[in-house]
Amino acid sequence: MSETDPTKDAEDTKPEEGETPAAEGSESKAEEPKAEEPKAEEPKAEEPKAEEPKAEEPKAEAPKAEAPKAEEPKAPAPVAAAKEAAPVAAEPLEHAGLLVEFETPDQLMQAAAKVRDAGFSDWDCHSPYPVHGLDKAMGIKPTILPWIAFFGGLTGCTVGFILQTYTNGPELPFSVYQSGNFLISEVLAPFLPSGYPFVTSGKPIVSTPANIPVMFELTILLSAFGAFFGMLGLNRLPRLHHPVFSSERFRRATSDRFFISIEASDPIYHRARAQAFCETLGGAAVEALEA
Amino acid sequence: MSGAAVVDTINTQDDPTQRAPLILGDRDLRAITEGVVQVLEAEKPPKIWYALFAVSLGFTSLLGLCIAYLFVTGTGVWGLNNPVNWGWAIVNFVWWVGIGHAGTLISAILYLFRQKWRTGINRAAEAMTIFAVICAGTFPGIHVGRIWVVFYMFPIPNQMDMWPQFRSPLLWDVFAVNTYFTVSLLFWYMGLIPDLATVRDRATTRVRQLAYGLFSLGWRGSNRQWHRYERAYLILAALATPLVLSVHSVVSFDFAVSQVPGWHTTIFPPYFVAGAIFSGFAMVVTLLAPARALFNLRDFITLRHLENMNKVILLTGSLVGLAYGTEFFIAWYSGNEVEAFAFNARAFGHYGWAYWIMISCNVISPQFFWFKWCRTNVPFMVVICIFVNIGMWFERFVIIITSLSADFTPAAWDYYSPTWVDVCTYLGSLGLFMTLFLLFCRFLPMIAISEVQGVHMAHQHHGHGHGDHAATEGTTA
Repeated sequence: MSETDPTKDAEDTKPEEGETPAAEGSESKAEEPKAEEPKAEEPKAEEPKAEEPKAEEPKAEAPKAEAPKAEEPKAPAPVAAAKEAAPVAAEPLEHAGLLVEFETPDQLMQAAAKVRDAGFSDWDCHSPYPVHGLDKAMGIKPTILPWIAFFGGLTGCTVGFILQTYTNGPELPFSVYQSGNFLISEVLAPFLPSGYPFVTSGKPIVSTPANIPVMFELTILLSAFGAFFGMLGLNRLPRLHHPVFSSERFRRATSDRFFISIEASDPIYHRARAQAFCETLGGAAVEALEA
Repeated sequence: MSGAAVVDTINTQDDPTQRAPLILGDRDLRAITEGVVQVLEAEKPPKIWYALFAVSLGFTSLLGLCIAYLFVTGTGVWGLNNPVNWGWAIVNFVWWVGIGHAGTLISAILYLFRQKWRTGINRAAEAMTIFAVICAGTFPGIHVGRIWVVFYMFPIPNQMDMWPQFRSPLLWDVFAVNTYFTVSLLFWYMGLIPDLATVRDRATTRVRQLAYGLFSLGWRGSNRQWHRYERAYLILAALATPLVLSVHSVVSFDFAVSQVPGWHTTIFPPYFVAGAIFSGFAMVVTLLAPARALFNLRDFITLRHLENMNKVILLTGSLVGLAYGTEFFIAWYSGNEVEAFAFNARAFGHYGWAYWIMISCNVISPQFFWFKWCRTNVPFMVVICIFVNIGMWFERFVIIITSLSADFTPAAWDYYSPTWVDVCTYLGSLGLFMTLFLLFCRFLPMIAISEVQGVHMAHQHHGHGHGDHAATEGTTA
């Protein structure tokens, strides 16, 4: 979803997008495959809008912070409505979203496709191990992580070369410093080869073949930093708290249960409808999350 | 945990019509988690753990004392003499770095080759890598003699405007070993994050929850996180693969780039890497065979895992044997007198005893693994693997000491013998290694829970199918 209009546009889109899957879910199951198959095509077109391109940037935090506030005024009305529909829902202090529990990865996979088709963007699946095929079911775009690792490696290689050339390179002739050129004598001087030219085995001072091992190691090192810290950064880790941790049930997400969480910050999130929608996903339990 | 654990289940028979199960005991997800975390959730470790820990800690203190003595007195406390300027410290360094290689091979190279059985052993093997590299790194660090100027090894700007010599293999070593340690640590820690979260979520005390919670970085197993996590894992595996091959190659350059007869050969890089993997796998078997019995992990680290590792030992052991033969052939075929003399002296000179220990341990003992009984009998394989470790230590000894003790000038020849400080430092490094490994067994999940769960479920549900099929099933069914 575009980030600029999480509140106003969301109001309009909610009824259509939020209701369709819920309505379908309540209908006979024989119709479901037909109804969903065309949708399996849609997300490809939707993906860029719905997902990653912006979620990858820190910007995505901004709407998360804003959206709940925007939702709050509206919340009381739906809550009342939701009470009849949802027996599980308690009265949380601050509503942060919904959590649906599943017992098998297959159930999770089917439900994930439904949530994706419903057009939510601030939602996620949780599993104790990476369930293969779920990326597709959720419509997740490939991550930009390989590029981060690649540029890390490129930096490492360059740094390796410059470091060695600079430190073992010959000093510029003294006359260059004395030439009176302000740029050289004052500005560039600290960066020009400082010179520890140490000739061994009659090899040239800048002998690139001998520099390759260090360049190689630094390439690997900085790519690995890119991959590891890039992964943490894109995943917004480390992080001290998250609404899903308010659920006692969620403790099994790292052990043997599967969950879908939909966050209240989602632009098309409407508490009562989302609750009703979650009930149709076929999970073992639906729970409200506290912030 | 499971009752079947008392006697080993024989799962080493191959039925080509179906895939062998990766873990035993017919476990579901919960049982996999519990089977692994029972080790660290047990109120107390087995009694023998305390005994081993006390002994290891004792040896670690010995290491500390020896190093302190060395710093106070100088490298004269070692048995170094004039031609033999590299003694046990460098032998130990090369040996320890080599041992580390098996962990990276299991975690990275087998991952790229889609060897799913690796999930049972990769965590412990990677931990072993890190501890071995810590032990390895200690030796060159203390070998510099004047420890207060150890920073000369690194390109740090200083008041003398002095920089390291980047054309020296010794400096390449600094970069290679440090990179290797850092990348291995990242790879290992990243693998640990989801499992630490598992332990955090099962924690019953506040201390555990905080400690494991802190190190699991707030992991919540979200699929968007898993997506990037798996990509990062693949990238790290792809990076660690050339890295691990480069590290021991660079270590071998320390020797091969010099002019000393017996060192100056082009066979060194592949020969060192094969030896490294050989000794590393031997160490993994030596550690895991008792650990799986002690901590009831026979269903995860099955006989099949051990057998597979023994096959790798057989292969790499034979490669090492081939390398020994090739070295001798080249020494003769090159027609270089000094080279021929060096190799003759290796086998039949003053250090002949060390050479033949090396040959019998490294070339002869792994050949037993041609026989299935030898590959699948646990006590027997542990004995063989200990021999391999001894043999590999002697290989480093033979290469370093014999070559240095008798080079071009007969007037400079001398016989090298270690002092008690050399011996105690070495034993101390074994103690440090064991201490770290025992702590790891007690406080961290020894098996990669999420990885085992992943391959186990994929294997159970989709047989030979692929994840992508599952996705289409998911959306249409």
